[in-house]
Amino acid sequence: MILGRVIGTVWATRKHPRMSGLKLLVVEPYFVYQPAHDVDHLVAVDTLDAGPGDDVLVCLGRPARRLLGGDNFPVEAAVMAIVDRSQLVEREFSDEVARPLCPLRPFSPARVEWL
Amino acid sequence: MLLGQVIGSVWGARQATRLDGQRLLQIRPLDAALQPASSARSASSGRPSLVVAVDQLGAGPGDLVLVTRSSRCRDLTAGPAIPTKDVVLAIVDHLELDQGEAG
Repeated sequence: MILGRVIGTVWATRKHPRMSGLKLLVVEPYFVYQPAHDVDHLVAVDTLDAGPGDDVLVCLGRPARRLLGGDNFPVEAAVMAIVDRSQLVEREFSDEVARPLCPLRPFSPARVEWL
Repeated sequence: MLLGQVIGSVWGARQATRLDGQRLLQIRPLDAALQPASSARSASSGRPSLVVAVDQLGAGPGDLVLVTRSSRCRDLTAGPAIPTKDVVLAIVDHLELDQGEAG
């Protein structure tokens, strides 16, 4: 699972038929996350009505497809929770650690309690 | 799944027989600000970042596309016989960014 911030919404009409009706969000992971390609974002399917600015938990792979109700969705990632509150230990997740992962934005998860 | 901009096509003079008839596109992943990157290098690492994916939707140069890199997604879309895992899943009409956060 990945903790990240929703930073955008994707609209697409021409897509694979098995993807029809799925809502797609762009998520910026907060911590170390190396997808197969060296990119700073991932696209996840949302069934929980998350929106830009929300912190979310994203799961990858087969659990993400199961979340949608089966294994026959061509989907790699899905939002499994909208975060109300999270507690982080500041010395472990310092700005220095996070900065390479969020190069353009300050590291500022919403609703985080620093311990 | 990742977003990228189509920057061109690839044609193989000799290629795996299962690739015959498949369109191959060069796709440059979006940078950290979700803008089409000016060069084919990752913003975070500086390493070259370019994807070649099978396209069955008819995307063309300049289009923003959603690309998967999962073998399961490949099986469900292009079919299990295609010898690559990178497949174009959707052509993006509009990308709505959270401007308040992005600024």
